[in-house]
Amino acid sequence: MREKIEEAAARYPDQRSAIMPALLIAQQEHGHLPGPILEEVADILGVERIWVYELATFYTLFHTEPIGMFHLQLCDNVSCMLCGSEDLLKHLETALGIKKGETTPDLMFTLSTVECLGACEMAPVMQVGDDYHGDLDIGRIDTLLSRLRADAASNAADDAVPALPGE
Amino acid sequence: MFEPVLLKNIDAPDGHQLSAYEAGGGYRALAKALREYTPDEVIDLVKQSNLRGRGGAGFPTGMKWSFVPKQSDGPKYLCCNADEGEPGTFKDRIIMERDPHQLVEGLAVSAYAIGAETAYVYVRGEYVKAIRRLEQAIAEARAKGYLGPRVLGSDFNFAIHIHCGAGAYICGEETAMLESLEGKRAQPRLKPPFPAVAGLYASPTVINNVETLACVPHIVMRGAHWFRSIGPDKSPGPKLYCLSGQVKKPGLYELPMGIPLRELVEDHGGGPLPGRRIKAVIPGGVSAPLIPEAGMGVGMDFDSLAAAGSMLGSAGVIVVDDTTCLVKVATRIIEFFHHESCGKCTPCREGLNWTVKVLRRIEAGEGAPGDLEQLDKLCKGIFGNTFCALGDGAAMGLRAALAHFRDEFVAHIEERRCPFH
Amino acid sequence: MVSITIDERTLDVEAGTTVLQAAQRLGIDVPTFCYLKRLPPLASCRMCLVEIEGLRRLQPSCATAVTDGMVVRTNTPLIEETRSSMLDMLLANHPLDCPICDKGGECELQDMVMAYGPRRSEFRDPKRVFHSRDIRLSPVIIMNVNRCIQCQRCVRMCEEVVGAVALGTVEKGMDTAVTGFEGSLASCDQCGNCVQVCPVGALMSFPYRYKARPWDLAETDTVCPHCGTGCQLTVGARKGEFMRVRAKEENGVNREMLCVRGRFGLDFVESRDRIKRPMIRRDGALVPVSWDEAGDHLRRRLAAVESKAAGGLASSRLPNEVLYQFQKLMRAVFRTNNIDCSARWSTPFDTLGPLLASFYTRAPLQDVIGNDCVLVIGGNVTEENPVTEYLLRDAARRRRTGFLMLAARPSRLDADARQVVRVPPGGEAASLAAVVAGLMPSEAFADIGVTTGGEGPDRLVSTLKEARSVTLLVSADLLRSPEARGALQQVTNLLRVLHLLGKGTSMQFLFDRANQMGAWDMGVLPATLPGLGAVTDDAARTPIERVWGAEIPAEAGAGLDALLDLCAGGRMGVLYITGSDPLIAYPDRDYVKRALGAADLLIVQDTFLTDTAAVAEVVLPAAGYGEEVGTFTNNEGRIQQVRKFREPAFEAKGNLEIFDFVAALRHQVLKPSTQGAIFEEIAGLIPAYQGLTQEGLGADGAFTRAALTPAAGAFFPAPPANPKPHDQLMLITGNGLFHNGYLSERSEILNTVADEPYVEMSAQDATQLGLSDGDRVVVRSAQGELAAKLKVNRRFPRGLVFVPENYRALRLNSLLRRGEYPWPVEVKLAHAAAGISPDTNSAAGPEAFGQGMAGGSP
Ligand SMILES: Cc1cc2nc3c(=O)[nH]c(=O)nc-3n(C[C@H](O)[C@H](O)[C@H](O)COP(=O)(O)O)c2cc1C
Ligand code: SF4
Ligand code: FES
Repeated sequence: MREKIEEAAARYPDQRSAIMPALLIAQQEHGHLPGPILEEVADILGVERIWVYELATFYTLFHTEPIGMFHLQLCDNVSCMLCGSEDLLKHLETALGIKKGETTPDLMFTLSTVECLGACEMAPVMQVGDDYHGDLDIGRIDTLLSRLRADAASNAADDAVPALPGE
Repeated sequence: MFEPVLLKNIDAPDGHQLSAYEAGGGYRALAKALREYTPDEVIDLVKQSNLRGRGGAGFPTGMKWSFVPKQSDGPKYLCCNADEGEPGTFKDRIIMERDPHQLVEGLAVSAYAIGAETAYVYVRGEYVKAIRRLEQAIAEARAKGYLGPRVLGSDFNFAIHIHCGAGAYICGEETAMLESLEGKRAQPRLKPPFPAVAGLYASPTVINNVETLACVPHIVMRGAHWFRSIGPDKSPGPKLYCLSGQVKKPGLYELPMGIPLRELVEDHGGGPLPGRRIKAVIPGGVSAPLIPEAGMGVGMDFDSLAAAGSMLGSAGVIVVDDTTCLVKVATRIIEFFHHESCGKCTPCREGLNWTVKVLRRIEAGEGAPGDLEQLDKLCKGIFGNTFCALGDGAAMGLRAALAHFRDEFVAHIEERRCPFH
Repeated sequence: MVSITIDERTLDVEAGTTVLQAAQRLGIDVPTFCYLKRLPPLASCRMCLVEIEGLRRLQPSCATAVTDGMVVRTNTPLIEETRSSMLDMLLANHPLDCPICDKGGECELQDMVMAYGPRRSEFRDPKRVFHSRDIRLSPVIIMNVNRCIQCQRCVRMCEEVVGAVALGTVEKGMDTAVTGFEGSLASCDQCGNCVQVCPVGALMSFPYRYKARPWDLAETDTVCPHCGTGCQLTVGARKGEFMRVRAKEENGVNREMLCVRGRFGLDFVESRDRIKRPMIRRDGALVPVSWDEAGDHLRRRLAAVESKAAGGLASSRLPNEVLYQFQKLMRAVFRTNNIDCSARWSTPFDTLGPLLASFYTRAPLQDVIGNDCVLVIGGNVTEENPVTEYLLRDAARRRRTGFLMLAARPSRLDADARQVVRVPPGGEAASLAAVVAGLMPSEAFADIGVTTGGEGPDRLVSTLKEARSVTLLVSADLLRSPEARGALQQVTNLLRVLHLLGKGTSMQFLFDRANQMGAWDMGVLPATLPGLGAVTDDAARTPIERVWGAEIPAEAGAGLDALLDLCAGGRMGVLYITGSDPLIAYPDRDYVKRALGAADLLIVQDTFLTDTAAVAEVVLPAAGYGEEVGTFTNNEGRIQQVRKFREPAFEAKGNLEIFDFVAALRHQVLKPSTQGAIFEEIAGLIPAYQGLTQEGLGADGAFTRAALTPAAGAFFPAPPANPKPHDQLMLITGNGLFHNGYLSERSEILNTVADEPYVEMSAQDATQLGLSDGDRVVVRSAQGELAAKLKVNRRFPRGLVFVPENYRALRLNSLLRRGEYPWPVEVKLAHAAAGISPDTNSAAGPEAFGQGMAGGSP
């Protein structure tokens, strides 16, 4: 982590600028950003701890609490709403047995709604990990969920860190 | 038939690769600028083209560049606004994913013009694919000498760095973006000083949108006159329109500036879904006040839309049809702004919170007499008094909904339910 | 100058003035929340919006610079509506729990709503409550997030002025909350300046919470007793019971800022450790007696020792009048010049006197740090004089003053300094000599014995050469060293050479005692009279003798070291100690213990039962801080009133009254004997105080004035070059941030913040010794050892060990030997050190005062 962070920091004349990239790196490695990780980031960059804490909480892509293996981020902004994202949310909540903002007990899925993902041409859209899934309907959601579950299972079988699903 | 310029590589499967870009004449504008023009001449050219910023405010790009002090020892910076958070907008993502070299070349030419040796591209963190494509394009361009020390053998040194956002709409506001780049909470800065004088790390800084920068190489290649020949003279050029919502063919369209909204939605977008009628259109992302169906004759350019009481904004065109409750749309829009308020100033932070509460109540059929007057009052308290334009966008949007569809609000309150349910 | 018209009135102001400042100058009230005079504008609260002709929108007056011909309106219906609307919005989610809010009655939000607010609100939805309980950020700071109005004054204060960067803002939008890292301020300065600037009841003082309503408090403006910065503060007491401290925006050197000691450390006045009644030693133990009995005893004992020497030691924390009267008592009644005002060092006044007379700048700190270059010498200003440091940081950041630091101990201000020269402990004199040598144009001046500067001093030389005016801020810490004389000589040399180079010069000391300057001015010194004239000088002595109607011995007396030698040698008849605790402070515990035990009669007059009082023969209970009036003279030479906010506790009497009592036992009368009259005598006798009146000491005090006499004669020669780097660890001492001695350690609140003594050293040394932060370690010298918690400081240089001198229980001075500084020590993990149980503090074992040691009993 230190090496990657230092490499990122080299892009800026001021170490403080590297807090965001450093947090992204740290989150990639640790899944989320608990206090000790924030302290480590501050130490590596030699910046005030409170600055790191401020950023880790200001930006919605940073998580200070653990999240599931797959983070389902359903867009519910205007364009997606107009194309039926509300029904998809209800469906996801039933299918997963959780409310939005929650994580399944097996820690597989966290379900969130997010503001516009910038892909309204394929509304309704959901981001899972790095990937966008567009033109969704209930059928496609179900296919997606079973694929994610299968991925997780095969990953567990390979005893590998779950790679995020490809495109 | 208008021939696309910005989107000409978009459908090519390998459009994001350097070879494809070069095959289509890529990086010739950079070579031409470096060889034939002084930086000032590039600025003049862009001024003559009347290119106006595609990020939302429509500020003349050449003029913005000319504010950068010529005599200054320290570094200057070019920042590309690729935060694209305005709901209904996706044009920058598509450029970066499918034709990233267009942006890289635009950055190089623009940086040369303003005397910057470093550019930061601030891309929203969700755009993972765009970020990878852009990284790859930067690496390719560097390997070919389009970037790096002594670009194409000239005295111009240039590096591009990508800075990933992490989910905050306000980072699209240019001074908040600078704060974010400096590693702070993204909250807008006081102006003056303007970024062109004291921006990133207090150095002269130009911030431009992805589409704006992508226009620059074309202007260098084809000339200011060509650019101005497209669309209205004061607001010219090819333009990317993001069409979404309740319309048959959502998608990204490149058409001349000033094309009538109706033509865009009905001819190009195929009109409403079968059996439905258009009720209103948001022409420029949710910050732009909606236009009722009857107003769809308006031309899609900065000045015409302003005259019609709305704005071109990011050209995120969202179509709302007659099956949709407008109170719900308005509520969702204000919820968005409320969620994305950075929290710095009182009217935006507190005022939107109050507004959301009232709107949610009305939508749920729990509105009370006096609520609409309270909303009017809140709009008045917010509009014009917030620190940055985020609060204004929210208030304007709500005002337009209240003005054009007040009867829907009244119906909710009087019937104590949503008439669309 | 540009001209601006506000509400039809026109005014010329300097370019760069804001509309708000211009309006304030016209006496026009513009409401603000986020604006704070000492911080750059934020313009976020939007209360100060005004109309400016030609601009479509209302503009924030706090952040809008005046342009020539600008026409502004602050009182139109639109502005009134807007202000009311902002307040309406702020109140919508505000809990409106004013009845139980500490701030109720002095809340800016309440006041603003009264003045500009809506008379009623249409808000009818549920309020946001995002933290149902208050959050205890630190032992002294507690936060009610729901009341916060996001003006960010606190966060900006913490970062930009205090420099602690402990507070920050988390989340965004409506969820925004001010807090510390992971919700804790455990590792901040605890200065409470965030609490001070909070306009509402969001950030609160935990000790004061729910204690009182502001309107029930009797408030008294006074001066902080903790260090020489001399901050103005306001004590709130309810029926004589101490409640809280705040500071006023417009008063004193500190203008609203305080440090942890000033804000939270005044509860020592309520300490249970008071001496309640006079005590005399009988059969080896101190027994309480009446004042009369004490008088009888004293009368006899004083008569018995009359033929032998007398000596007096007073604390430089006492007010001027008390100190003045003390030296008068010693000189006129006990007929001795054996007096001193420090229990830690003998002051080399032969060198110090001329330095003060030639260079000491009695002027506002704000002025002297406005010079383009300020050299801070010795000590650690951050921990010893925190508010001074806040002001220095402000000057560095906002006035671009260039700071140069030359000290053994790193401080936080280093980060804002232009140059930092880390000298070996005790090496200040030699490094200064190198700077002086570097500045000397060699042809013009005789060589003073140093040629090579070394890299650090050389950098200072080149910066100083470029400066137009230079201020020296000299830590009183220099006086600790046996090289003190040499260091003061080099300070003098430096000022002289700067002066010869045509630069403006200023100099002030950074004292860690509230009235050290006053103690010197009052002549509580063996060779110097009030006004700093030499006792041996007839011209100085005669006028004073005339006023006193008494003779003053014409030979210089014994200073602290010599006083103790007199005692130890069995030649001291009576040693009279007022407010001072040499048994803890003198850097050689064995010696001072022996000396005190060997004096025939030891009188201790004090508020608290100090270790020294515990070995005295006669103990007289004196009024404490806040229980008698007087004046302090701070580092700036500013004289300020110390006021009384309660009556002396138990049977304590005012210090002046006790002096009368003692004088009477020797059949003499001290005249005048009331504080006011003594002040007048001081103002008549001491040139720097000439013409001052008590009434003339306004809210900001007044400045003492001295006519500086140019230094004459040859430059002082250089001291021995800096010692070769030691392989050994060298121990130095000084003040820590939270404690500066005998008052602060009696503050319960400060002890909740920091009760544990610590040993500080560099990360490299710690690693090499296999120690880590928080370990319990033993520090051992040839004399003794102590155990405390290790604090690893990454900024510390190798070879340096610091132990604060203010933890009584640590008995630091049992490790020290007088005449040595710094002290070589070893540091080890506590349990690894043979024979030391982890919780014994001193190898000498616990001393049982009043039993084993029948100090001074006949
Ligand atoms: C709240 C807010 C959000 C904005 N978001 C974006 C954005 O996502 N992308 C963008 O290019 N400009 C955005 N802008 C506009 C920028 O502040 C700025 O005007 C623009 O990047 C300048 O580039 P241009 O001159 O090329 O348009 C936003 C402005 C505001 C007030
Ligand atoms: S805690 Fe007080 S000072 Fe800090 S932002 Fe809130 S209201 Fe302002
Ligand atoms: S005081 Fe000007 S905006 Fe707050």
